Amino acid sequence: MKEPCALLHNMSAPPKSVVKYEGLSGLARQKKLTYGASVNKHYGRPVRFYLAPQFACLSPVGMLAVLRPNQELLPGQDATKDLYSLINDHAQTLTLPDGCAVIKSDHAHSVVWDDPLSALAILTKCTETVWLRSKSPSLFSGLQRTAVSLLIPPNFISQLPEKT
Amino acid sequence: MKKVSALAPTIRDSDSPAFGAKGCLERLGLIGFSSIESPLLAALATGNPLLLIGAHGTAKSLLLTRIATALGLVFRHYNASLLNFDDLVGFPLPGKDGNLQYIRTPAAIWGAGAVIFDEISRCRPDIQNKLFPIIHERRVQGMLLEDLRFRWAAMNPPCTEDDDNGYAGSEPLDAALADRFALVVQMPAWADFTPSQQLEIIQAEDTPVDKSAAQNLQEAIARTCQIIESFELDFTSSAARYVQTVVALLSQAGLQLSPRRANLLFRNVLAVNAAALALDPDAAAAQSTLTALRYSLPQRAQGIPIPDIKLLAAHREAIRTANLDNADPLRAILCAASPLKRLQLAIQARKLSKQVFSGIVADCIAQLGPGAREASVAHLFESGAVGRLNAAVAAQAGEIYKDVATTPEFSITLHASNGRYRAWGRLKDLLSTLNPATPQAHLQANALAALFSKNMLSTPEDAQAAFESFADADKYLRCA
Repeated sequence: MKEPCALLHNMSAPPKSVVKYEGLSGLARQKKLTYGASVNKHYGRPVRFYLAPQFACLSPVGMLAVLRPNQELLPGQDATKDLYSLINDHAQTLTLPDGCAVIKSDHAHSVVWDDPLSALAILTKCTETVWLRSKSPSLFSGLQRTAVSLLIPPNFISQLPEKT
Repeated sequence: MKKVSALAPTIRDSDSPAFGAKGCLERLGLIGFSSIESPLLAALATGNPLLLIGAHGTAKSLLLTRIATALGLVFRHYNASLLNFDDLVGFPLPGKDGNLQYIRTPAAIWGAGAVIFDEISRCRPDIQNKLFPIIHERRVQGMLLEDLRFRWAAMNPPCTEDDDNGYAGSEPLDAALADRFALVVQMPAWADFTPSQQLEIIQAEDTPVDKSAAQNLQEAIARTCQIIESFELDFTSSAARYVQTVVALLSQAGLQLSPRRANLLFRNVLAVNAAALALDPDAAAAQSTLTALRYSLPQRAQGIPIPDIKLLAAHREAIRTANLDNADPLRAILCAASPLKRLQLAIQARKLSKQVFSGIVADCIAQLGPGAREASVAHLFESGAVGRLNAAVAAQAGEIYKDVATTPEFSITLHASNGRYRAWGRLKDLLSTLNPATPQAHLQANALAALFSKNMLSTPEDAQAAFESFADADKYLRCA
């Protein structure tokens, strides 16, 4: 016996359509509307922070030696505590809003601060979705990744320093 | 008296010795009512209408009749489900002067000091309407019942569509009638009694009311009245602020209270606190106030569920802020009716602690609907206020913002007959009205597309509502 034709098989089923979204500009194109707008994937400016893998695998003592080359750690001094204190102090100096959205890092995102301490101040104070200046730093969770991008809202972009 | 919490009663110096009437109902032979002793005593001290709600056999009628006997009251006990108006007033007869007079029967309400309307929820609507002025203003046919002091009623829990509790004939009370009862007290059930109380109830016999027990109750009532009169201004002011805040918080939780109810609640807070102190001089004000709140809600008689967790949350917040000044931003935030307004005020109040700010924001995010929620979160990030949140709430906001600030690309195959397909069609039409040259338009489009992809907009009406909610909330917060 012959198998029924695949076309006949679904004749009673309602037609299927593909619903697609690639941003508002894409939707405008679909609708054949022209506004002359640029296609922005993000609202605001993404800024990338990264840590060199050689630095990321250092111990807190090793990190302090790189970040504070002229200051030796005294016997009995807690290196992690010192490092966290350094991170907290540096986080206060970054001209960012007190909280920012964390997005997937992309090499196309601009790097405004390329020093390891700034990267530490971001990576150790991030959750999966947000960076908070006032959050207690955590090396353990922060160094699970070596790069992250923050999405700076339009109101705060003017505060960013020129690209180094 | 030392202060025990933000809401602590302070009483003007009194010559009366310390008085503790705890267990005054038990001495009347009423077992297991310690949890409702203070609201009952408050109702007796104020003379405000009291409604008891309980399953059959929970001693509602016994409680009221024994109290009436102990107070030496002339009382009438009517079964409202069988009541005719003639039973209440007697038979009408035209008088010599043309006025209507009533031939008074022994069961008529005239001359009664207390009246009990049992089974009030099974009463015919026309009779319920006639009971209304008796309960509310002690009047029948416009005539004042001068001797009537106490108006009490009892009913089984009302049967609702969602909850078939077995009381098919027990209808939810009309909202206006329910609102006339100052205290609406839920009777303790068998499971609430201790094992020894259960045994006492099993072996209980009908005995006459003991004279000393009756005197004890009368003294407790007198002491409660005295304490109400002696509350100092700082306590009554705190109680008023507590009521103002708790009414706003309950409204946010979906339990609306009328202005009359707010006034009754205030009086109940004072009366229940006074009654609790009369029963036990060491009674904690916060607990007594919670008891007053718990038994001041007319929704119980209307078959509207009162989630305990919402009640407790509102009470705790109101107690915490009862001593705050009226100008304190936290009071304004808590009393604001709309979550958007609360969010806006909280963002402006930069001195709020991280914990308080995070709590307010988390509540607002939870209460706002699709569209408004995304617009609010976008505002938190745009204003930088997200940096004032604790990590948990900020991460929750970040999860929402991720889909608003970046384009959530998706491709979904749908049947044309699917409601979601029609929702997408509507959404596309709405989004095409936005100008992509405006940065905010991208936020709105992304937010709505993300809601669609997460299956949160399943009809064209959902899409329309979310689109409008985003636009309204965004405009409101930007203008603020």
